Amino acid sequence: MAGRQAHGRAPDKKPRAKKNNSKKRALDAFAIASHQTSDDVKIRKHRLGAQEGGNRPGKRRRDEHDEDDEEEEDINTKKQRKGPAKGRFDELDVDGGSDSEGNEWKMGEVDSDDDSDLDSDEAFGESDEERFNGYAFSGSTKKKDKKKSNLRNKDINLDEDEEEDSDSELEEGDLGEDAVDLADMLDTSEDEGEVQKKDSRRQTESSGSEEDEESDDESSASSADDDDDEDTSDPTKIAALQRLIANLPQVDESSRAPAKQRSDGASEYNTPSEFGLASKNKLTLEDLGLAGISDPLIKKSLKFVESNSNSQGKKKASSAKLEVPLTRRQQDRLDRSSAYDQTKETLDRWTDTVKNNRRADHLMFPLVDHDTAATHSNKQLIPTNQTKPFNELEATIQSILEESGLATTNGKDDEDQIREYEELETKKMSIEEVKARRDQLRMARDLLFREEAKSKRIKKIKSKSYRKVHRKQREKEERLNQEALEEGGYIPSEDEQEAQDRRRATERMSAKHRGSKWAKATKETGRAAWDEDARSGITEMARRDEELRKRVEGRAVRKEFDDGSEGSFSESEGSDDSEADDARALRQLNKLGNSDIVDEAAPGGKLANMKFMRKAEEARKRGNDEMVEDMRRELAGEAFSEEEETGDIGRRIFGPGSNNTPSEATISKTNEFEVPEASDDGDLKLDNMVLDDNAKFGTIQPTQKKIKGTLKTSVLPAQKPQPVNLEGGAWSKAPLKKATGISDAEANRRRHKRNDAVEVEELDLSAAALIATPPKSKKSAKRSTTFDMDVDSDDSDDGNTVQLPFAIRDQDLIKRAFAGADVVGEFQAEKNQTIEDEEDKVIDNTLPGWGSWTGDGVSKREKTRNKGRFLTKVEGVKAANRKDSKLERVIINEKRVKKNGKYLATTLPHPFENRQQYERSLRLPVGPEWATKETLQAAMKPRILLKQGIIAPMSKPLM
Amino acid sequence: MEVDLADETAQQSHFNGALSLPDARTDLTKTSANAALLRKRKEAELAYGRGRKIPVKAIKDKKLRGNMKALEGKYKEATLKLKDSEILHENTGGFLEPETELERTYKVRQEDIVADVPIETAKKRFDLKLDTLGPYVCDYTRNGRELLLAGRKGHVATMDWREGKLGCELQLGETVRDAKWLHNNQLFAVAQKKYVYIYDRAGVELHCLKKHIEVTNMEFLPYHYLLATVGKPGYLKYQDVSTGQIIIEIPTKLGSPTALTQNPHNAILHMGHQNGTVTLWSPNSTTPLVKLLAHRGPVRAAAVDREGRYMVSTGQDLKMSVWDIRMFKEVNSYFTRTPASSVAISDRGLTAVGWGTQTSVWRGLFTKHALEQEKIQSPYMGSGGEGKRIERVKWCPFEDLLGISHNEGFSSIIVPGAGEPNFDALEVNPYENTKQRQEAEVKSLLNKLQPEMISLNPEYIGNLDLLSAEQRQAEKDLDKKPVDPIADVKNRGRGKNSSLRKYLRKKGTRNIIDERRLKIEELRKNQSEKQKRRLKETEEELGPALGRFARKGA
Repeated sequence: MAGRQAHGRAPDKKPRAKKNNSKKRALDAFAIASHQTSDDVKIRKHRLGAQEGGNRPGKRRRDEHDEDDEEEEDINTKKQRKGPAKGRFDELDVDGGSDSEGNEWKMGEVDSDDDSDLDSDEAFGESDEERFNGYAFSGSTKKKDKKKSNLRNKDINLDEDEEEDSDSELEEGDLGEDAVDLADMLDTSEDEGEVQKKDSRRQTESSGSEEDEESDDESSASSADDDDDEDTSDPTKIAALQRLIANLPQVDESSRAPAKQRSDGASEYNTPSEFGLASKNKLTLEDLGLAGISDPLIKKSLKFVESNSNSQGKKKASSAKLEVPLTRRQQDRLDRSSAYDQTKETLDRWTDTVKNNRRADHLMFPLVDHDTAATHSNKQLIPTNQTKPFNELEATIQSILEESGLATTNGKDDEDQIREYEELETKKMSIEEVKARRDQLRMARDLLFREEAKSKRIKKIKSKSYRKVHRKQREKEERLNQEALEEGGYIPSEDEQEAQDRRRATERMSAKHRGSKWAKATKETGRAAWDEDARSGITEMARRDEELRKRVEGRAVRKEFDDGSEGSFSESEGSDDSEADDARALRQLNKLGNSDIVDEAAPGGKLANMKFMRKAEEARKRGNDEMVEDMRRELAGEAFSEEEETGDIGRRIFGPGSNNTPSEATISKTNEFEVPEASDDGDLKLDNMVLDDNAKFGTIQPTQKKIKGTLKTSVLPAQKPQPVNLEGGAWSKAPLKKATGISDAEANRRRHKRNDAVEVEELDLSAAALIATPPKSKKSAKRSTTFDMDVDSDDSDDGNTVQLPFAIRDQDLIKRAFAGADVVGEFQAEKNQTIEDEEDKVIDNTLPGWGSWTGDGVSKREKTRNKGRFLTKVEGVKAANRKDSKLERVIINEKRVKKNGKYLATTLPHPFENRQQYERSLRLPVGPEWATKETLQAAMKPRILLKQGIIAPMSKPLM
Repeated sequence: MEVDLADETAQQSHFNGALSLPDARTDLTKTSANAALLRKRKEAELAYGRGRKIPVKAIKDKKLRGNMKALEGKYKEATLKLKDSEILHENTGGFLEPETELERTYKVRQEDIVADVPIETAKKRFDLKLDTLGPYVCDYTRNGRELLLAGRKGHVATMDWREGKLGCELQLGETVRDAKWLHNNQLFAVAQKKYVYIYDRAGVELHCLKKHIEVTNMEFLPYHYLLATVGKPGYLKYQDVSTGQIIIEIPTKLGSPTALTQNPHNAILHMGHQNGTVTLWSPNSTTPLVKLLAHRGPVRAAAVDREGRYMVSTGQDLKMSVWDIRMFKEVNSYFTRTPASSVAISDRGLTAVGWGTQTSVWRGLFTKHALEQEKIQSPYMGSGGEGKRIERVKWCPFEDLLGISHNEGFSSIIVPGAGEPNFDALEVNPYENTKQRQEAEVKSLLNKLQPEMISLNPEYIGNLDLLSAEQRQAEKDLDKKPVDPIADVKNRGRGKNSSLRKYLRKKGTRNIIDERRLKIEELRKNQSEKQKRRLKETEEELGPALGRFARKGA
């Protein structure tokens, strides 16, 4: 604790605190308990006052939401509590005395200061002494603050604590000036009326509680308070304050550095080491230029950002107590996992390259290194001096390129130039300035980066329905989680949050859609029958599908999302308000009306546009409207009778009649008080749907009739032509019957013509002739006519026709000549024989005399009985399966050629799935006789080529 | 080598083989350059693609799909490259084109052609008058350089027909039924009265194949180095001329063959018979793979086109029938006025038919990619009618020449558009020198295909065997070593619980005597004898005093 004693600047306050600490440590259990109870409250109180930014719910949540007057009360009670404590313990009495002296009250927020001191002391003294043993808190006049700031810095949080700053300011006595500035600003800005009011209220409070408070201190403190309050309390206030903060540096343009620090709420003297991380005000939306965004989506995300920043502030507050370091094992595990991730990532960079190389047809070692290849490639000439153009032509080209912005002067980028310039500039500045600037820049960059990342992520989410479905649940879960965590004193790190986000993203990726594996699997297994999750998933899927379909149809999807979000807002604002309830109901009604209108306006399916459908729709709409009107009336006057409700219980009568609908409405109305509004909405819709269906049912029958009617009419004309055909003249009949293979078109054409007149018959005739003759002629052409080959140069024959009789005569002769040998008959017989031989055969293996009597004297009956006792069937080729079954004059041997089997593959080689694949893959021979040289060489090229040289490992991934 | 005679003999007439398709699609798709590319790709696919692609999209396995895609890509590129490499073909083929509808290409006479073609080409038209040792058969070497002539009465001669240089001339003095060049111009086989003899280019008799008796028809399968002969007894014999082995002798049981030809695509032999059937043979089966009834009378000649798609056969029944020998369907049948004695199909699909004293050349008897084959009305060219009875027609490889051997010698006629205009020197080189010939020989020997590879579908190699596992097992077990029945008892342990003892203990008392049992008994006897011997030895070793302590087990 040497460091503590060393500080000499404000001896009046700090030693006291120290004493306090030591005493407290020495206290018995009761003292500790009392301290914990009373002081904890105090601490929270104070903290909340100081940095009530986080909307992160936790133990202290209740306190956060406390009103100002409550705070005041608390302070009072605190004081009262403190009084007795002092009285009880002598050591504390001194403190109490000092307290009562007013030294501390002069400072402004004595209580808070005190508490924070104690807290930090405890935190430091107990757990972190060892850790900070070697840490030299030098260079600062105030050890305490320094320490604190260090701690803060350790927390990564770049935001600064207003609490300490105010402390320091108070002690510095610099505050007067500061206060004046702030006051000026407050005066100048008109919008900050509220803030001012608040300030004044604070003033009065503080003045009420503490007498000798200086106005300057007070104002500054209050302003600090306001800073902290702003984020949660009121958006308008936030905006105002932000604007104020934004204005700050402009006001103090002349004395930049100090003003800035002041605006940050810290003094330069206080924390000289911190000046780099200067911006102690929180980075807000306005700062980022996102204030004017009206899109609800982005707003939401921004809200998230805001809350994030707030939570950071909060985290810092809670981490004023340094956390106990993780045990070595845990730490190691974390280190290992992160190291693993790191290595994995680095290794993953190689996968593409490795894959590529594995899949490559040919690899040549040593592998081509792209760097060296680029430098050593001899495909292009490299100028000897790259900085200067080699000749005039090059110079002109270079200049042209420079002008057009394609090349840079002297081979430097614009960025390079800028950097150079900046370096020069920095040389002129002092070290501190440079440092400050750099830190500032770093800070800004960091923040920007984060913002970017966040907004990117948020931007990616598109699906409204997804949000709608998951938002509430997620929020709830998150809240619960955070509460739980905060109770446990645990604040989720950024990594964890990111992990959560990632998980969410993956969920989204694997969204249950129709074509997904999941959907198919559920459908196949019928899991939905028994699995609740699956069922819900399927309904969800169906719903989404419906929505999508609607969207495709061009109908507007209900804007549930927006409305829902509003609803959620309203919910969060006032939960148990009946008025709000009513309002909600009204809104829903409006929505219903709207949706109806939208539905009507949208170009629905064809069915929906039909007349009967429209009628039904109208009827339904009328009913709905009435219902809505009723509900409105009820909501307005709160006048509805219970009898009405009860009277309508029973069987519903559906149909176009609209008198039933109001009762339904009332039913739904009664539901409204019991069931949450969402389900109510669903109810209404369901009813509508039912109605709709009924309407459809009502109207469908007539349409069916209609369809029947049309069918009849359409069938008739189709049948008509046939009788006409049949009625056609005798000329047309026969050919038509013959002409079976005519195309329909032709038939139609003919039909049309038939209807007309006499010509038709002629046409018909021709057509029939055309149709009837060709097959005959073809056959004849094939069979009968054989032409002479006579090409005697001596005979000057004109055509084949002259020779035809001769040929025929010859043929007759031939027939006569070969009449003796019935070649065809013999061949057919042979074929039959082979077919029989190669067919399935039943062999009788019965041995005569084996198991039966044989020889003379055995009756015929006996013999026949003994004949077919042992039969074996030898499988062959069935006549129908023979290759030559449909070929005339051909006998194909069905026997397997065994010798050929030597060159057959016995089994299907591994990667192939079927015979076809395998056999077709072998179809193209690779030999110099069948392929071009190029193909052959490509086919023969070895996969790995080794060239002379050192095979070095790849320096970096190539892809 | 290839002469496009279209201009010289330009005559307009009804074009016999041409299909004038109304190409309506060109109007729609001629706009973009993309279409040209697509068309090119399609053509390449058709020409070099070798059938269906792998349906890549249906593959579920990601890796396999990727691999298959890559493979398909490679194949596609290969086909495109092949198509592109067609630009290297320096010669183009062409046919006689009629100028008017009234002109007929078959009326063009050799004298007209000779008058119009360049002198070098005109020189290729020649006649050899060998009317005494009559009717001659002829054969060209694979590269078309040399000609082998064999007269029925024993006159055999080889010659470089371009130069008009005689290689060798033999007067064998006995009946010669057939003569064939082997893989190059160094060796030729002659089917003589009784045996088949092999001579070298100088006419020195190298081998007498005594297994081939009374051979009437011979074929040489150049990629398998197989000489296939069939004789009057009707035995089809395959002999490997590189090793000298007889691969197989197959009794056709169909009598003396009337025709023999090979399918250059799959090395299947087509044999014509007296009963009008054509049978398809491979050295791997003793029964014909396919038997088809092509004619009502005896088959006179048969020929298969280079790609192995169509067979043209002629018969005694005055028919020439065109068969699709992949589908085994008759495409068309034509009428011949006299039974055609010889048929040959050129590389470019021209079919020469020698009938009586005349030869006619048909074009477009079959077209490769046509859905329905057209029936041709008139031949492309004709010649003959000079009273020379035609024995055999042969196309000269890589030339627009048809060699006709007849009873009065040999004549070589010019048929524009018959030969393959572009040769592949890796395959056969018409201009090879000695060194190249030697190298090609070595290379072809190294690349020799096994006779087992001959099949109707030559691309079957590597395909999946669809035989069931049991069948395969049954086939495999044929030459498996017999199982030793006492293997389990033989050499396991020597002590009290040896496997033999255990067996004897457990099953030794059973009264089943089988091979196993006998062997075990023997084994046991041996062991006990051994033990006794050892006991005796130890007794002797220990001496008379201590011998009594020797134990049996130790």
